[in-house]
Amino acid sequence: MRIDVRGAQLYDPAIGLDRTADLLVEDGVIAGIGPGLPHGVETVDGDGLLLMPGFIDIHVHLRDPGETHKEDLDTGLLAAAAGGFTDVCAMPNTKPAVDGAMVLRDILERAKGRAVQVHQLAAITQGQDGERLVEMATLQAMGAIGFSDDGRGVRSSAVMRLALQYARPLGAVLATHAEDPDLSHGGLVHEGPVSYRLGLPGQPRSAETAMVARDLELLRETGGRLHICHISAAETVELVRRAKADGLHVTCEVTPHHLLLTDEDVPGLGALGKMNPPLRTAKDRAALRAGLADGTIDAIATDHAPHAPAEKARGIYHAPFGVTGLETAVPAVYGALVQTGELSLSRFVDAFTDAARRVYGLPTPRIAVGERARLTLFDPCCSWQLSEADLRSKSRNSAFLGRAMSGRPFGILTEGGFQPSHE
Amino acid sequence: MRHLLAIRDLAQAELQALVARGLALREGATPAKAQGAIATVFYEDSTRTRLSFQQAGALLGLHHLSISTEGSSIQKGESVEDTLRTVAALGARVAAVRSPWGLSLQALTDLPIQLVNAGDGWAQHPTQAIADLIAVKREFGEMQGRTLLIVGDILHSRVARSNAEGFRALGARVLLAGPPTLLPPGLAQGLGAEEVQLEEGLRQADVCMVLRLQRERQERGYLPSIAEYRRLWGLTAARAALLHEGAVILHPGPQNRDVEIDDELVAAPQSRIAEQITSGVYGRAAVLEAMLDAH
Repeated sequence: MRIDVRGAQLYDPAIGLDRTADLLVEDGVIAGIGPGLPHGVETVDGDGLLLMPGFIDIHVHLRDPGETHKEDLDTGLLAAAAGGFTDVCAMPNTKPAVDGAMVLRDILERAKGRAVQVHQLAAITQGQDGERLVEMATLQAMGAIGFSDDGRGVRSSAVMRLALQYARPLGAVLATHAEDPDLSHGGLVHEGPVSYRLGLPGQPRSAETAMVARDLELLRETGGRLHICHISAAETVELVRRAKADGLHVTCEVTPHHLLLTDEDVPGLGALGKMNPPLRTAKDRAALRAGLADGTIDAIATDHAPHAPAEKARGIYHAPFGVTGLETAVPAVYGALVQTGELSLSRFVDAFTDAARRVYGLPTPRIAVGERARLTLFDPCCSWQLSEADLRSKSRNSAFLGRAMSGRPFGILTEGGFQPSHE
Repeated sequence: MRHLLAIRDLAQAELQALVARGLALREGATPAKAQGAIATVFYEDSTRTRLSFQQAGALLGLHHLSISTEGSSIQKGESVEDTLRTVAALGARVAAVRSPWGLSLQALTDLPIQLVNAGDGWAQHPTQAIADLIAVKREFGEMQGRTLLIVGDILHSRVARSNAEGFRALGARVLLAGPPTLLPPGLAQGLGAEEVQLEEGLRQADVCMVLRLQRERQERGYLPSIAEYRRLWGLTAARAALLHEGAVILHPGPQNRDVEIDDELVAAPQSRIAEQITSGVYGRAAVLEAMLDAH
């Protein structure tokens, strides 16, 4: 099957590509770039669009198996395509957790042959109990791209150290949810003037930073590869910056909501402002933006955490932590940081493509003849307002509902053909 | 006014009017009449708040439906929402809800029943603040330029939060004193108040509000001992002597006598603790009048 995109701006900064041209895909492979290409059976008008290497979201919760009232593989991947993502990395805290061959095989089988590719992580410990390591070598050989007890983290320093030691010769990445549960205990929002004013239990920033410092010191001792999920505090950015300067193999990610919102938004957002780690202060947000711009923070990842409407409607005290992000990440960050000049377009693309894939050692398909077609199309000029009708997830818990957006995902072009992001 | 969930939701004039009306009722004005019932839905133990709502409702002619955790469907796991729908269907127009869950009523404002927050976790206890404002207004007339000192476990106190908002809204200055684990840096700023040394605060205060010390704070490690708390933060007779003449002592109750407040101070001449309870009935009656648009 032949598909051509006419007149898009082909933008792949990692190989210095930035030109307006036509692109032809034949049987899932880029067959031609340039003028005078033959038409395919399907033609996409790329005028005014950016065509980029396929975006990847390295932190999503697909809830499948076990909590398919929140999301399932079908709806989660629809949401990904709606957000312009060709690839997602799925977290293993499903029910049951991805801690053994059976669950992993089931997910990988069901994810096969879809336009959006699922890269699956496995748990660090069995049942994410924080005590007994999973069969890392076996699961890695089956296709697990990394290991994480995301959702709670590894409480015991000794277990985390053993996990790092065990993972090192495998070259496996441990993705840590850095949270000291004694410090975060019962906290619903960031501990600070806002939590004090509202009278809600808070999580101090040390609940994250102390755990990050611990994991970095363990990594310094054991060697290996560590990825720190969804960092939220200014001090964490500095800890990672220093660790990288020291030569440790550490990477980290930040969510769009931590880049765009602060704890001051919590009263207005209610339960949609409740996530873990919590929204922090303007100082933290500024440090996260700076860390993203200078590359200390490798990737933007959504921590897409769908919860059924009735669950999120229970008020900030009882609602579960988390917001969705797949549909909104790219336009929200583009509008708030790229259009305003705070973040370069090339770093923005890098944080959703090359740098994000490097976290798990995944190659980025280039925009070049002979490469697999895994491409993201984005309309940088479209202004629109996010409403529930724009969401493809089974859940509706976006912190950006009602937000004016600049720039909109247009579609993804993969071996499966062209899939538009919206009608 | 459809609901009363937090003091900060009230415009200054609205709060002013509720306090004035509550004081007028306290001084003998005739309450307006209303039809129907008030439900008290309590997920925590309470004596005075529940009875106070019951009394206030009776002043207006409202029947009282009482639900508490013990011996109700709540124990069978019925949700707050379903319980409120039930009491609404039984004829209650207003529900006074007490729970340990901060800001949980904000998600329930579309139910077919009007809500009064009777205390939610650490967050708010607006009718307590209105009661205290009435008691203080009765004493001093105007709040403008007065100084309120709150002593104790500010971190976990909905009474401190509501009162800080209420007294500030009506022009008073708010000072806070307490153990550093229960009054951590940034808390005073968050409440728009100033942190002071206890003795210094006592010298400046027109109103000294002593908070109840929950014994579980010691169990959770916030305090090394109740004895040391009393030594450092208790309102002893010696400390009370630092208050200027005319200053009054408040306590939201129930008191741990000889812990946060000396036994002899509870009923001392400068204590307005009993008055807080009485004002509470009339303050709640004023709130119910406003909510039910009673004439």
